[in-house]
This record gives sequence, structure tokens and C-alpha cells, in this order.
Amino acid sequence: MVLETDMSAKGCVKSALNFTILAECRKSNARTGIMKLPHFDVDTPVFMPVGTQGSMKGILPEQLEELDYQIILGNTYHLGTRPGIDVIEKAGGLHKFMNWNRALLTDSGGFQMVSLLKLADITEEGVKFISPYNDMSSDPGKECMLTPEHSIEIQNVIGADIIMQLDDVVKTTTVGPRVEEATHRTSRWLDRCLKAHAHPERQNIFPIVQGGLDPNLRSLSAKMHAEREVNGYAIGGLSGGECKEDFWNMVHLCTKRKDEGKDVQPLLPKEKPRYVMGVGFAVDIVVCCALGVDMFDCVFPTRTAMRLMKSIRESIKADTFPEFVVGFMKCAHPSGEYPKWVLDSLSAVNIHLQKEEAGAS
Amino acid sequence: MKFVIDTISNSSLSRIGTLKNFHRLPQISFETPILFMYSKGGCIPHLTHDVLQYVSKEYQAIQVPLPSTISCHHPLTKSQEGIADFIGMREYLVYCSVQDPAIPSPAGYNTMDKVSIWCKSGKEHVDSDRYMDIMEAFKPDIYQCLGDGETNVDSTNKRIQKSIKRSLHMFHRCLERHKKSEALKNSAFIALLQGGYDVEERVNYAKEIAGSPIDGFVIDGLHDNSPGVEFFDFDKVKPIVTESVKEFPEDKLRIVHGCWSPETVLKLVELGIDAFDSSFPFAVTERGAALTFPYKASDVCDADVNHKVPVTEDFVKEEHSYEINLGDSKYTEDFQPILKDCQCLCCKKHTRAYINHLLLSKELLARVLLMM
Repeated sequence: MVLETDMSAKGCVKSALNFTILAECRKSNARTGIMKLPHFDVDTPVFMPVGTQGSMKGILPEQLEELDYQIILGNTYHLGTRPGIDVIEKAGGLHKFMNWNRALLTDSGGFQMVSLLKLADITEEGVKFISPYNDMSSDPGKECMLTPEHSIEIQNVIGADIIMQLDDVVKTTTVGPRVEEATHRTSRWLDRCLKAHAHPERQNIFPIVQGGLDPNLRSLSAKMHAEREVNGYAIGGLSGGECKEDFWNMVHLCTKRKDEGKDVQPLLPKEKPRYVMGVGFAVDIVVCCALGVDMFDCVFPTRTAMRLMKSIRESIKADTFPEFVVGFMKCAHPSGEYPKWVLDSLSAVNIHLQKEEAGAS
Repeated sequence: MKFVIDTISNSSLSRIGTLKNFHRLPQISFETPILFMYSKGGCIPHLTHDVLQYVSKEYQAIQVPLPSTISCHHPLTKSQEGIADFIGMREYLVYCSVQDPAIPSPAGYNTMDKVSIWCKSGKEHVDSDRYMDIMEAFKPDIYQCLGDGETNVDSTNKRIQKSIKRSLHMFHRCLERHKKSEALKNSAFIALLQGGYDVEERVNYAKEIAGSPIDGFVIDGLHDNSPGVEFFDFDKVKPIVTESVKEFPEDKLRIVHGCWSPETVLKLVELGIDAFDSSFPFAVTERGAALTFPYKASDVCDADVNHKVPVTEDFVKEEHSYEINLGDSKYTEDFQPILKDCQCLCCKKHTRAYINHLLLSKELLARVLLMM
């Protein structure tokens, strides 16, 4: 089914993001579209390769364009440490500094809370880091405080098309009151980030849905964030060692259009792009596309992911996405023994691997 | 291969010529003086084939040193394709050399009929027959004869004598095989001229081989292939080059290898040398620096050779005035290109500050941009 759902900005101010869904899968929640950003029009679903320090591992910007990358990631924490925000500001932003003319997304620097947890102390004010860098551009052992305001200030200087709110990240598998605290704090920090944002006309803040693996907290977080005036959403705190059952259910919770047989409004509105952070492997990406996710990033070998995304986009347009999923899973699991979570997640969105396979043979 | 001299300068010995009639690549020709592109393991360091296209879409001549490619011998014996195809550079001219002009070779391991080749897995002893077997498998467009060039400015007379004796022996053996070889019948054969820093020995050696059917010669045995070659005293090299060159017919290609400084290269061109290699820019890249002397390729090619090659006083006086160390913190906020008005991709699109950041962050792209 091909349809046009244009999510234009109200009023005469040019929106920093304009998402048009070009085609939707007739069975699942998969969709393909164009996300118009200030620097480039991005085809979704899209995989965003990670260029941590303002460079994509030995590849020239010209080569990236030739490979048809439309958006790449930069890491705020790394860039803020080196070359430092002053240098990027003087260069006129990261696009100019690294000579990349297409779209960019920066993270908030908050993910380092998980990856460098020993070095961080989280309070309501923000995150206190101890710089692990030991070189001439920063003092080793120097304490730095990253607040929501500071994260946005840095990201405003970097100038990426999409910037991420600072969120209170807990280890994915954490349970108990810490998860609840982090969920609420993430929403409070979102409001601080939105308030501090200096360039809403050319940069988009994406809120990050948290809530650990607790369905109630996840729903709450998604609902709270959906109320804010933003142009897209991220689902965070996943892909951190949780079991696949938990993983797909947490994504599905945010995007599902049917609940126990009844039509429902997805918690994250379908007119806006959805981004699952840190995903992932090809199977996970295919499943998440079926669940209705539009954006991915991971250090997973990038070219494989690029080709996969192109196939997904084309199959949704050609209205053959369920067939594509069946064929893909058959290649990934030649024995026909599909993991239960893959069967369950896909059947939740009307793609039945075993039945269709039986029907075909 | 055919080498034609097009013009000879009135005021110096410098000359402009053309290398052409390559059997494998009949459509391409090269103007001399020429810089062979230095490669390692069959790849221009830091530059993949597609990045090389950004540097230049023109055909280039690549120098393929044996130490980093000797391991290709075994697979190539099982295949009909030569080294140019094997390294994915079939549209480029391939010139094989015995030693690597950018990597110092440890001294003292050569014997009467064997030369030691230092590769990643250690030392390989190569005698004339094994060397010619390798060349027959590689099928290069141009290749050097095997020789013991392990002499330098400090070499004793005894060591020079040894080098001469061994190299002559290898020269005759290689040439004999070359003449009979079916696989190498279309490859140009380059002799290695030995004799250390002894002018008389150089001249004698040159006389010995000048009448043989060779396509050109390398003035070998001048140094140990270290980056220190940059700082060599040109006055010591000058008489060797001047006297050696006189002994050969004019249409022999004259080659000098090593990381010579740009001004020394210009001076060697004045003495009539036709070919060099790009190991110097590689050495500069490896130390995280960039070359900043202004030049225009077209000026160099079209220059009237009657004019003396412009080596100005200022240019020579201040050593390293043409090089900047981009790892230095003074470039952290320097948003200029490496060289103003330069038309290369790196200078057109990137800044000193960005390369400084890439170097400090140990990003692979730093050396890609520097090598370009």
C-alpha cells in the first residue's frame, strides 16, 4: 500500500525535519520514507555508520558519498574532548570541520555513562566524568560535569542535523528502583534539554525512551516523551545484553498498532521517525523494521547493513516486504529452525515464517 | 620499452625524455624526469585503488620493491598472471626493484652469490637463479638486475671490491637468463651500478656493463635506504653521478633511488638523472608531516630546459622550510589548507586543523590525507 503522509511543520518556520512515508507494508508495521533534514534527504529505514571522532575509519567523505551514505554519527563525548568544542566552533561546526556535507547525528555523550561507568557519578544535576584521555589536549584525571544543558550546548556547536537528549542510562539488565529513577530523570532531563536548545530551526532533539525491560516503565516513558513537541524519537537502553524476548517486546511496545486484536495508536506516533539505538545485527534490523523502526546505528560492519537497508526499502515499495523477510530468514537459518523470538515477533506483525514456508512448499 | 630523449638542456646536463612502447601497455607513455610511485606489498601506502583515482586518474608507474612482495612468488608460479594483475594494478606500469628505498636494509648478510631480502617473515637469501625465477613469475614491465648494493659513504675499499665482484657476477648471470627468457622478453632490464663512493671504481664498473644490452641503470650503493638519506651531503654524491653517467650511451634510463630531499632531486636532475621514487613523501607522511613547497606540475613539465632548474638560495638555505609537522599543537586551530591554492583533494577540502585532530586521534584518515 503506497500512501503519502506528510508531516509538515505548522506555520511558516521551515521545519528541521520533514518525514514523508512513501510506502507501508500491507501486513507488518514496516514503512519506507524520506526524512528531509537540513543537510540531506535521508531514505529510511536507514543504517547510520559510526564516525566517532569526526572520521569514518580511513574513508574519505568523497568515498562515503560514492557508497551512498546519507547520514553518519559523531560522538559528542569524544569530539568534546578532542579536538574540543572551541576548535569545532571556530571551524564552523562538525560538517565543515570534517568536510561532510550530508546529514549528521550526534549522541548526547550519555552512553559513556554505561561504557565508562567506573569513571562516572550520576546525580540529578548531570553526570560527573573523570576524563580517561591522557594526552596533551586534556588533563588526565580531570573531572568534568556533563549536564543536559551542557550536552545540548556542545551539540548545538557541533551542529548535527539530529541531536540526542542526555538520558540517564542504566545497564540494560538492571532491575529495581534505579530503573524507575532513571526513567523519570530521563524525562526531566528531556525538558531541560529542550529548554536549552538554541537552534530548533536547524537541529532536531530526539528524546530517548527509557524504562529498562519493565513494560510499565517503558510505556510510561514513551507516553511522557510523545507529549513533547519533537520531530522524532529514539528507543534507548536496549541492545545491551538483554535477551531477545525482552528486546523485541520493548520495541514492539513502543510501535505496535494492535493490542490484543484491537487497533490502537502506537505509543510513538507513526508519523515521526523512530530510532532504535545500538542495533545491530542483520536479523535484529530486519525484525525491528517489521516492528516499525526507521533508524539504526551500530558499529556492525557497515556495508552489510547498507545493502540490507536498500533491499528493505525496495521491498516495502514493491509491496514484497513479507516475502523478503521470509526469504531473508530462510538464508539466515537454512535449517528452517527459527529462533522462537524471531517467530513470535514477526507473527505479532502478521509475518508467519513457518506457515508461509509450509504454504510455499 | 623504448626511451627517447626529447630535449637536452644547454646550461646543465638535465634532459627531458619519453618512456614508451611497453608491450603490456602499448597505449601509455611517460615523460621523464619521472617519479616512480613507491609501493609496499603492491599497494601505495595508505591509498587504496579508489583513493588513488582521486589523486590522479592518469596512468602511473609503480615501483614494486621485492622485500614486501617476495611472498607473492609462490602464488604467482601457479598462475599465468603477473604481479600487476595480482596486486590489482593492471593498468599501471610495474617496475620491480631489489631493495625497498624506504626501509633500511640490515648490512652484513649478503654472500658471494646471494642477496639478503628482508621481508616481514625475516631474511630471505636470493641468488640470481631464484631472483630470475621470481621475475619470470612477476612479469614486470621494467625490472632491476640482482646486485649487492650494500655500500655507503663510509664503506671501506674492501667492501666496495666485494660489492663489485658479487654484483658483476650476478649481473652476468641475470642478463644471461634474461636473454633466454620467454616470460621476460618484453620486460626492460635495468643494471645496478656499484662502486660505493670511489669514482674510479664506479667508472670501471660502468665501462664493464655499458656495452651490454641493458635498458637503463640505477646508481646503486649510495646509501642504506634509510630516511636519513634526506640529509646526505650532495657534494659527495655529485662526482659519483657525474662520472658514472658519462660512461653510458645517452639513451639509457638513469635512475637514483632513496628518500632524497626535494632540492637534491632537483640537483640530480641537473646532472642528468631521469628517474626517482616517491619514498621521500612516504617518509614525510610517516612522521605526520606535510610538504608545502609551491609547485605546478605543468610548469615542471613544460619548462624550457634551457633555463636552469630554479634552485634558489632561499630554498636551500633553510632546511625543512618546505615541511610542516601537522602533529604540532600550533595547527590545532589553523583552518588553512596544507598549501594555499593547491588543487589536490586534500588541500581543496581539508584543513591543517582537521589533519592535526586526526593525527592526535590516531585516525587512519590522517595518513590517507597526508599521503595524497
